[in-house]
Amino acid sequence: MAIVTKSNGDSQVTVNVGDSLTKNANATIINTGIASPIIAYKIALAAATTGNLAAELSPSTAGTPGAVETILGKLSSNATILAYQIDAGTAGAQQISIIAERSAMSASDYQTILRTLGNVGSRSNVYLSESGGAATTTVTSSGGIKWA
Amino acid sequence: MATVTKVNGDTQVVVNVGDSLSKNANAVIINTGIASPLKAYKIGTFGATANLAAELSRGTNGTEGAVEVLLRTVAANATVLAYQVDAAGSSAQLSVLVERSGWGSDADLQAAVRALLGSETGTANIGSKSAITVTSAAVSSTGGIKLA
Repeated sequence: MAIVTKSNGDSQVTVNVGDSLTKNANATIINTGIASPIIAYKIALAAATTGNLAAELSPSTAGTPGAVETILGKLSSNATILAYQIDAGTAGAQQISIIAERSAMSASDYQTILRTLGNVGSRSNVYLSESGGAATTTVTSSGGIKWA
Repeated sequence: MATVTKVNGDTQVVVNVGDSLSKNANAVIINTGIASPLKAYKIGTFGATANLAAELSRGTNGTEGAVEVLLRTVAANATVLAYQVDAAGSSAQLSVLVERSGWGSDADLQAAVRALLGSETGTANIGSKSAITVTSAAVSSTGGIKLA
């Protein structure tokens, strides 16, 4: 929207291109400018991940896909990715934030898929499940688009 | 993008509809699905009793809710795509995703927000149902779309 010129009504639901009917509540995305419902996924990588996600934005010298490409690819089979971002470079704090539209994948389903992948790093170790077998990568969407 | 089918190259910049030339770095929005550069504003610090969920609707006498006032301020120099309110009290936060932002800096937008006056009160309280004090409001976009 170019400008808010609403003269009556509320600021949620009535102008919301979303799939939630929640009204006047916290933690609900109010989408006024994107043509279809959007969802935001927060992917917190396993603590054993010692890799550098910034480096994983590119493939290895041998052409192996970077970890970010692999993770995005699993979601894009069931959603249209609009934007994403990586953050932090220290073990246990790496995070990928994704905004997608028309998603048909729940956060728990996405998490299950990612946890089957093991080490997806092309340049360093990026474990989506712990090297010892414990699966600690988490995917959540309940926080909406609350910026950190 | 519907799916990631990249066979070579990196996952940043080459597919990024953005205004940053940072490559393979943390905390950079990589925009693949929205037609123009994105920016994510985090707006908070509205006072100890702020309730932004209540401020999604107008006051009983038709006074604009604080969220509407804040969005109109942002929209003076940007196109609002989506937004969300979170929490109450001193940690209350409005997260706004915009495109084509013409705000010179976060400080510029912050100054505009701090200059707001309530339509009824004539003071820095822009709330219609609760006290939303903008005197010390803080605006930042440096975190990008990192999700909380």
